[in-house]
Amino acid sequence: MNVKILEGPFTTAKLASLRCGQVVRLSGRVIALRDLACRCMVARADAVDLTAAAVFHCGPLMVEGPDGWRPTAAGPTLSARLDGYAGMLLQRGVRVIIGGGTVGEEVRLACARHGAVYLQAVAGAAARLAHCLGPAIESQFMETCGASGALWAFDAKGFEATVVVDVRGHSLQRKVRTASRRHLDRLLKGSARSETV
Amino acid sequence: MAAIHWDRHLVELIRRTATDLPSDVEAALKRAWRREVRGGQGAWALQSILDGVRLARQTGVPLSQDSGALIFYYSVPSGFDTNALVARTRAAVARATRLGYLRQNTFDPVSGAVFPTNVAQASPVIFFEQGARKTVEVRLLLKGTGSELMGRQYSLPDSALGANADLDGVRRCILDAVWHQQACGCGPVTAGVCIGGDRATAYAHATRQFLRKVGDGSHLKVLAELERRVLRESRTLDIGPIGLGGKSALLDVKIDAISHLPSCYFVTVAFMCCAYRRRGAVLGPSGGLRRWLY
Repeated sequence: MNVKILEGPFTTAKLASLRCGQVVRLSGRVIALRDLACRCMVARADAVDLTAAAVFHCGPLMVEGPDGWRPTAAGPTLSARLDGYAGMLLQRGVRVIIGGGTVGEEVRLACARHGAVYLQAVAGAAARLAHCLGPAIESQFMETCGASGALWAFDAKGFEATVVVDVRGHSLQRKVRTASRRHLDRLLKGSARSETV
Repeated sequence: MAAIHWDRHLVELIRRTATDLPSDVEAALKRAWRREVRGGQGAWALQSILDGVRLARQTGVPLSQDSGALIFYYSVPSGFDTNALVARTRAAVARATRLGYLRQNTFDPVSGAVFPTNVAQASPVIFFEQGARKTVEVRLLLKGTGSELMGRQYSLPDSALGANADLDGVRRCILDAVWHQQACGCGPVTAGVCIGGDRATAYAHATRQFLRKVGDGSHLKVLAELERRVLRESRTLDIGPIGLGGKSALLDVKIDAISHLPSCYFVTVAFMCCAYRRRGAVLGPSGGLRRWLY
C-alpha cells in the first residue's frame, strides 16, 4: 500500500493533496481527547493551543512512570459521540481529526468548509498506536476528567490512519455505506421470505 | 477460602485476558487478512491489528485502551461460597486496575464520577452456575464499548426487513445488524446471536456465545449451517473490517436458541470487537491453579 508521509504543523496546504482511501503516516503534535475534555474546553478556550494540531478521539490507557505519563494502549473511540464538538475544534485551528467509526454529515461539511480532513485509525491496533504517540508532553483537565478522560498532547511519530473525509468533503465511509446497502438489498431480495436455510 | 491464591490467579487471569488474544482469535484474524486484497483497506487494517496484537504480547501491555465490560462466568461446585468469590473477584478487578491492566472505565450515570477501581454496582458483571465438578471454572470476557453499542434486538415478524419468525428471518436480522454496525463496531466483529428468550435474557445469552471458540460451529446442525451461510454472505457486503471496504466485516457468527413466549420472537445480535478478549482458568476449591483455559 502506498503510504503518504504527513508532518506537522498540519495546515490545509499540506492536506490538499490527500484523497479518500489514502493511508498517511503522520508525525507531529497530536492531542488525544474525548467528550469530557471537549466539554471542559468549551468553558476554557485558552486551555490549550490547537492551531494546526491533529486531534485524536481517544481516551488512552495512561500509566505514570519515573519519566512521566505514557500511553500503553491508545485506539480511537467512536467519533460520532464527538460530532457536536467538531465545529469548535476546527474553529480553533485543528485541521486533522483522527477517530474511529463513522462521523456525521455535519462533520463532513465542516471539514470541507475549513479545509480539514477526518482520518480513521484502526481500533484493534491500540498498542501500536500508543507506541507511535510516545510519552505525553502536556495534559489538561486531569482533576475533572481523570487520566482516561483528560486531554493529552503528544509528539507523535509514524502514526498511521486512513483518509476517510478529504478537504473537498468526499467521504469514503459514505461510499462504502451506499454500496454495501445495495449488496444487502440484493441479498435480501434474492432469497424467498419463507426459504429455509 | 485462601484469599491469597484467589487474588493472585484472578489478577493473572485479568492480565492474560487484557494483554493477549486467544490463539483461535489470532488465527482467525490471520485467515481474514489472507482473504483480503493485497494493498486494500481491509488488508491494511488487519495487518495493523495483527501488529498491535504482537506488540501487546511482547511488551505485556493491554490490547485495547477500552477495558470494556468485565464479565465473569463461574461454574462452582455444590455448596460453594459464592459471596466470598464475589468479594475476591471485585478485589482482583481493583488490583488489576491499579496495576494498569484495566483502564478506569466505570462511571456513575447520575453524577458522572468515575469509579477509580472499576468496582461498582454491576461492575464487574458476575454469573454463577453450579457445575458437576469439585473445581471452580472461571471464564472472563472483556467486551469493548464500540461493539457493545452496536448490538441490536429485533422482534419478528419485521415487515421492513421482510423477516418472518423463522430462520430466514433470523438470517435477515443478522445481516441487517452487520450492515448497521459498519465502521462502528471496532471490527472485524464477531456476532453472538440469540434466537428467542425475553429482552433481557436474550442479550445475556447472545453475549455468552463469545465463550465459544472462533470456528467451532453450533451443536445444532441447522444453526451451524445458518452460521456458515451468514458468514459467507457477509463477505459479499464489501464493508470490510473497519467499514472502509473488504471482505472481513465479520470474523465469525455464533448462533444459539432458547425458548420463547408465543407472542415474542426476538432475534438478538451482540457484537464482540476485534480485541476479542476471552480467557479462563480451572481453580481448586482453595483457589490453586489447575490449568488455564483457551
